[in-house]
Amino acid sequence: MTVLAIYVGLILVAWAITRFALAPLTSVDDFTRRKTVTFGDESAVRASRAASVFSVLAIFLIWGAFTGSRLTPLHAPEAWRMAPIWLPPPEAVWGRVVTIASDGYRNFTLFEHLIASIWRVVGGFLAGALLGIPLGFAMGLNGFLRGWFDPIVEFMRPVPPLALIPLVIIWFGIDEKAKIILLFLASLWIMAIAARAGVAGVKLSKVHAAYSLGASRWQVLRYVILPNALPDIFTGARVAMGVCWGTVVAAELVAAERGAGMMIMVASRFMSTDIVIMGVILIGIIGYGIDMLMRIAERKLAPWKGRG
Amino acid sequence: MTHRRLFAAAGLSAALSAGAAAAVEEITVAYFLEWPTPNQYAQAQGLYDEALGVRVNWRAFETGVQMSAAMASGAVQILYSQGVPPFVIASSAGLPIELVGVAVTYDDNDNCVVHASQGVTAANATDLEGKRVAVPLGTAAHYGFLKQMEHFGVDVSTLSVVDMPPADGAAALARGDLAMACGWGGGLRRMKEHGNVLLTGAEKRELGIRIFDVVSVDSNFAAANPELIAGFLRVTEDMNRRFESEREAMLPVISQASGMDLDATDETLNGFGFPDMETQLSDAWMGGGLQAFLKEVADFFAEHGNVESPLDSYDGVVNATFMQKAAEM
Repeated sequence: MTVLAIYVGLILVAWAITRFALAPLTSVDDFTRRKTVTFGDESAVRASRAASVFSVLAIFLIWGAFTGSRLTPLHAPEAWRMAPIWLPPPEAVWGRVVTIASDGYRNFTLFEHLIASIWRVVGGFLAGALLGIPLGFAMGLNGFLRGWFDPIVEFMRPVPPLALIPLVIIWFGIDEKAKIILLFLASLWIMAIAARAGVAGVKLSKVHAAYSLGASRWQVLRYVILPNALPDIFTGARVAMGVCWGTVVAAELVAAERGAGMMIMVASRFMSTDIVIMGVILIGIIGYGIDMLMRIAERKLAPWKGRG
Repeated sequence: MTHRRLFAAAGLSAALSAGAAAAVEEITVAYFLEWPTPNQYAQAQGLYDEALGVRVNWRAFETGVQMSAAMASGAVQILYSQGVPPFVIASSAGLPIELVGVAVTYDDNDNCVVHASQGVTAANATDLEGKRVAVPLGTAAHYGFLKQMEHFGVDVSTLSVVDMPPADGAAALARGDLAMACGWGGGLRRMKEHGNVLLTGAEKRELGIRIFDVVSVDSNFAAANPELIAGFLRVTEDMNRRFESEREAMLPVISQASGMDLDATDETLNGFGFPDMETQLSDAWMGGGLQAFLKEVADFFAEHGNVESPLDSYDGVVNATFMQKAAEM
């Protein structure tokens, strides 16, 4: 509770700083500023960069203060501090990053662990997308195929990929193949449903306009349906990437030699909390990075999103 | 995402430590499912509650490390049948944990099995080099595995060691995905259907590979409530002795409580030993042998890079006073 109170206090302090000290420096004179009423107007809400910076700083401040870190000026009283086995100070976690990056953990370096996880996610996701998007299109365009695949897709969609792990081990073993199949299954249904929703969302007037201009079926698919479905597919891809990234960590709990999830799990068996925290932070950073890349790709490849 | 997790963890531990400060009206004991022991008869019949005069809750755990984590948060006070490696890891990390007794010895119930297709026996064990092996890391099986490989002169760094619980290891071994799998209990029984062991339990004992589980307690709680700990050990001892004469009557109850069928319970219990208090207090165990063994395990794990800083001596984390007290009860 104390921690929560301190955190709320820090939010208020940071808010006060951004509102009263920084606001005059950073305010921009634009259209939004001239609006008389902005509450409830979502387009007038802009994320405050300063608040984001303060947010990250606040976490590190609390983390450092309660672990007796050398990096923070303030410290919680001795009785309140957490022992390193429960929460090591930030510099200990950083020290771990450095040693594992150079010496490795369980025969593989940090880089190799992370690459192994990223490779599985990207491989599983691409396989899921390559099959899922055509599947979704087929379901959106053909009555027989929709009827055929509908029960399968709707049945598999709510099954959490983690529930499939035992089956995947029995059927496909414990090799790399098995892990990629699991991630493929995690992304396939999401991509299929996103693609189908994309097809369903194409305005009929556009399709008719294309036909009236003499477009062939192929041209309608290529120049009308695909571009209009793309924003939905991207939304699905971002969701699928998130699910894959969450699943890979669990997939690596079973019989992996390398990977970020394996690192966390094995470290927890030996109470090396610094490695666990390092793994959690790295997974968060990479997941965030992947999402940023997807957003950039979306802006580049489907700039017409929300304008059709 | 990270900030939420950190925050939730901090809030949770604060809430839990607040709960631990309450007066002792009930205690919680951590135990394993599918790990039948005579004291589960007392667990099922409420004999502990009667003898101790407090409510005794039983919570099943997956691993010994999770047990010590739960203990440190104040959620459980007694860990029944924690493996030696998790205990060594927890006490080396500075947790307030104390060993107060030996729960069960099982040299024959914890081993490594080589897949039949490998044709590997004690004579040509180095043929395992370069192969894939499944080991539940941080457990007694992990220690036994490292010790056996050391004995045969197999270079562990050439093996590809993957972390798998015994049940999964058995499934993968059956598929032929692994050259060897290590584990205990039901998983080990299934493994043996598909391969052979390198050393028998007796041969491992000769090499000094002792496999047993311990009874460990929250040392702060134990210091404040010595009579509860001694009472717990007393009831456990009574059940272990009673099991020797009333096996048939107790088996169905134990089978139910441990979540295993009758035959498997019977078979598993055949591989278990429950040393009596006198033996446990002797030099071979808590009289000094146990402490020396803990040190050996800790140093061995440290050598393999799994434990950061072993204690100089494990005399301080073994406390025989509760058992002495229980012996007089």
